[in-house]
Amino acid sequence: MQRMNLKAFFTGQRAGLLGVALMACVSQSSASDYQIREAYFKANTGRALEVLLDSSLARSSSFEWRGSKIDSAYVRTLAALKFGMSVADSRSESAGRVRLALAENQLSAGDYPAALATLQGGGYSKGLERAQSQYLRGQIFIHSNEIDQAQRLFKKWKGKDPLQAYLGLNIGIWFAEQNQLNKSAQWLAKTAAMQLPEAEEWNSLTDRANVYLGGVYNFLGKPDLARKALEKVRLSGVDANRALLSLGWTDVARSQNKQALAPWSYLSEQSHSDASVQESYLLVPFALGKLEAHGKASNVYAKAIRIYDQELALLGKVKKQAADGSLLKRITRVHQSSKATWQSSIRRAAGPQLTAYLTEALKQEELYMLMKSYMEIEDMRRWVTQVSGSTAGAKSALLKMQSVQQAYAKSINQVLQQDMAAQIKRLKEYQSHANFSLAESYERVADSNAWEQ
Amino acid sequence: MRLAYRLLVVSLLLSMTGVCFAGTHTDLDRRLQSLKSSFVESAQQVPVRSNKDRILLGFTEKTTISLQSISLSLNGQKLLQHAYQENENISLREGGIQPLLDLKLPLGKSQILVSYTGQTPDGKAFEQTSKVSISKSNVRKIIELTLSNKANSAPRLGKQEH
Repeated sequence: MQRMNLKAFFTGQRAGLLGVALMACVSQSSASDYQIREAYFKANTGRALEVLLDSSLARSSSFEWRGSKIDSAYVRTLAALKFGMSVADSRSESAGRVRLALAENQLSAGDYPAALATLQGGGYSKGLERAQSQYLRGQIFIHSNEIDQAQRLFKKWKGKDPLQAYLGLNIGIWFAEQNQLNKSAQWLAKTAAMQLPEAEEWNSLTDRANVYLGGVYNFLGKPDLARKALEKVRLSGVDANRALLSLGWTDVARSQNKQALAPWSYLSEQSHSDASVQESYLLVPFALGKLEAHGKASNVYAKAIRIYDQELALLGKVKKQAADGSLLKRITRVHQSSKATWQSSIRRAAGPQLTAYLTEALKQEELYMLMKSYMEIEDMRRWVTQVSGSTAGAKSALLKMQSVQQAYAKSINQVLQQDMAAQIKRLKEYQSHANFSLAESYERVADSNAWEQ
Repeated sequence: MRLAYRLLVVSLLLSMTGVCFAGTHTDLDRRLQSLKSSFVESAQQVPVRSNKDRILLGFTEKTTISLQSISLSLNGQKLLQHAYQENENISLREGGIQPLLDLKLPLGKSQILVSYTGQTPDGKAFEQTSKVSISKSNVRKIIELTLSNKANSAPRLGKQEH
């Protein structure tokens, strides 16, 4: 991603294409409220290109939301950043928000000094803006390993915005990664106990803090405390499976093997494609074995081996389709006939069975960014095809796009194959463990039968 | 923007586990940047106008719900089915308006059936269906469907025209 000179950005010396367009339009008449709000939605939901090409938004307009003002210049800047372009606009009524969006981008790109300089380039209005600026500063400190500064920022947090909780969580995770487990537990417990608004976003944050806290307490040999934390995680949340895995281990640590069966059995009834669920197929018979129920354990091991076979076949299919490029071609075809985001196109093209594995693979930043770039080119290609048709200029532009897109496709297919290979390796290890344990269970069943006779 | 903070949490974990992306595809990214700049430059010159009617969806400022799905039917014919992502819900709660459909509404009176499912902040699921009446003349219609609720109550659907 291109990064611009910050000094030039704020003094307006580098007025790039977008900046010129924005500045030229600042004093014109107002666009309708719904248009700017629609553009804001698109910029935030993977349709940034549509905002950049929307000429009706090239006028000064704004809307107020919960005491904060969002103007068209900011929305266009946000769209440009989301579309991975450099920006140049310093006249926005929402200058604070522009700096926040830019700093967030710089932080994601790993340019911490630039992100800090951007944040320090001006003031912020009270409320969400101020909270976001504090949060981003905290993130910069954590990434730069200046943990004392991050902790100070948390303690002197201005205002009451719950974003403070994200900072607390990240400090706790940082300490865990540094193996400073007691400090980690303190921060995670503090975060998990924070009074946050009743909304999915904040409930998820509390869940995550409790999952980490449970894990840290388990490492510290405090299974009772771990259980208390893990029990608070919602079954409906995204971290439920990880919590259930840990909860079982907590019970094993407390020598409550029967109790460990409950979370692991529940987990083993969920979707087969989930990594935590696949792990639970080994843990349920492990707990049964501890309870001397070797007959039942061998049945579960046998079932696990069958499921691993099915899932390995699916993974092999994805790997093969990545190797011959057919998966990406199918995703592209679906995306061409849809107005939805590229993530939705992947889900539709992959179907329910393969989606879980692709979603897992896309958690890798490298693959995600490659796919995002590939789909951005696809969106540009679609636009040129629809609007400019078969003119010579359009043909030339399409050829250039095709060349870059093919290069991205090659990289995507390579990374996807590597990822599938890693997932196949993991499942084969599980399967081999299950095979070994199954044989062991059969021996124990035979032994106990012989003993009874 | 809040979704990005979640991603930052994730990226923090990635950076700590040694995953590094920056710089791997620099040349390709440079080519993409140049492509994007020239594309936006030329595409902005081309005016794209639509005379179709539009149906949008927005929240009121105090709305706290999370949508899971929405479907629209016009005079009994299904037009749209959409499943929500978290970033779409966040954007709606931050004042964004979602474009649902561009279509040619039939002249005269028609009825849109809106079915939507979701959750209130305390985790209670809701599933509702509302009828919206529309009267179409020769003028282009832009209809915003508006969902509103208070605290943990289920939402109500309203309509305003732009």
